[in-house]
Amino acid sequence: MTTTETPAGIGSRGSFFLGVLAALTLATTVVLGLSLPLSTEQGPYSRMIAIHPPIATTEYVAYAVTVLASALYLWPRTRQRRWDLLAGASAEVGAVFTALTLATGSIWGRPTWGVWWVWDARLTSTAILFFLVLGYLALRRVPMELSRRSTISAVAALILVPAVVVDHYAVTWWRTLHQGASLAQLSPGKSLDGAFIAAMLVGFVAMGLVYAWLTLHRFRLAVLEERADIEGLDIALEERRAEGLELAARP
Amino acid sequence: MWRDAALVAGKDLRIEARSRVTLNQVAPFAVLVLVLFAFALDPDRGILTRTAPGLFWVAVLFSSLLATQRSYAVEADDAGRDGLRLSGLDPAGIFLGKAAAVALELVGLQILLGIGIVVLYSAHLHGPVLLLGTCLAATAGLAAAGTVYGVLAAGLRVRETLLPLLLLPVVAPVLLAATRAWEAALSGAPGDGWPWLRLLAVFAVIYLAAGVLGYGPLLEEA
Amino acid sequence: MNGYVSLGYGVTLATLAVYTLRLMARSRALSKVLAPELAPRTTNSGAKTEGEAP
Repeated sequence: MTTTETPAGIGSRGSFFLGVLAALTLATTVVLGLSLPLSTEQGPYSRMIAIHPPIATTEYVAYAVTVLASALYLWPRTRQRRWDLLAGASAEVGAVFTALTLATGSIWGRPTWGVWWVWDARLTSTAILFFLVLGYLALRRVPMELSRRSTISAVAALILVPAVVVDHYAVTWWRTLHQGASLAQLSPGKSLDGAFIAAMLVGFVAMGLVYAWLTLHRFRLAVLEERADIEGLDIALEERRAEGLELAARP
Repeated sequence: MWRDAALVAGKDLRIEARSRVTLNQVAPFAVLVLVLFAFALDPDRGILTRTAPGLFWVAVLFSSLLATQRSYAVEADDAGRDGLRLSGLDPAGIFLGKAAAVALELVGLQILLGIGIVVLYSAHLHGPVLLLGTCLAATAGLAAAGTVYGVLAAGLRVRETLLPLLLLPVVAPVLLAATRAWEAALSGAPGDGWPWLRLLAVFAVIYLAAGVLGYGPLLEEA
Repeated sequence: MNGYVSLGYGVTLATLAVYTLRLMARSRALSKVLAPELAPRTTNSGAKTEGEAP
């Protein structure tokens, strides 16, 4: 047996570098975020600004990638297996980020609003988005013919477009308890001041890098999973055959 | 397309008329849901009367799930879906026909549930125009979305458990809008209800259009 | 250090760490399945048809 060029795992030199970069930026975010000054309105709780808005925005990016990849898969000219796998990988990472959005938001809401959860348009639409993605991921796990599953999942992913749009504009369309878009407050003269903006921007970069790293690895894992699915039987057969030969060769 | 739709709708409704599954199973289930709400919420303090619109629409939503599943279950046996594919009917027509059949069943269920909330929850129905308009728009939306997602899940071994997870978040806006519109009508301020009715109409139009355009490819894959 | 704030950061970091570890564990398990077969994979497909011919 010769050595192999293709790594069997999901790591590579490039992704290792990306991972280190993501970890460093994330560490910087945590340090910056936790050392933010106490704000007059929210006390220490405004320190969540370094992670909560970046996580929520990254979640939109993840679903945008899912929808884009699904559309590329659906369009016959660009139909390739990898678009389907990328859509699934990005959606799964997106689901993790959505769960974190809900969790960090809830943890911030408890001391600030006095409750873990309010039925405001932003929170509700985020929750619905989360369930839509869970449904999509469940659909992807249903055993069925590969091409059929890919097509059906790609169609199902399109629902994420209106869901994300409604979620994003929920704070503008309805009067919500949740405050308006954090990025919109970056214009001069708005309430967020320098240190907060800096921490949040570093947070955006960190979460973006973490997302890219996770999605890249989830994608490679999906490729491996698919190969294992397709070749798994061959491998098992070969192993059994080898065992048989070994037994037969024994004196 | 319209002729094909009428054919398919006629077929589905004829099956329902003969098998009576909707009448004997889905309708009692819907009323049972209303009764269960009365157990869960204290009936003496008027909570039921105040929350009647929401409870009504939750019951409708659950029933629409059953109706959608039933609509595809009747085609699961004897390769009924292959038959439909081979029939040469316009896929858009098949979609509209199946959605129309589900919609008609839902209208029947809503009449029953409407009587149910009047009798069981002592709700007073005001603003008939808004109520009926809401029912029509919501029914069209539910039937269209149900038919689109039903064909996605049809033919899967896990369809009974998967369809609710896929469909309920999608139709959540219908529940919200229909409940608000009904609340506005019942509280005697129908003016507040019209924007919600518009939302319902938009939802219905979007899903009807999605179904008409996308049903062919989905049926091929199912 | 405030309790809620540390909880928020803690939950975030822990979740990302758990997900990362899960990804790595899953890939390791899969590599074990695929690795013995991986090296001769390209030559194997050719060899297999020869082997099955008789």
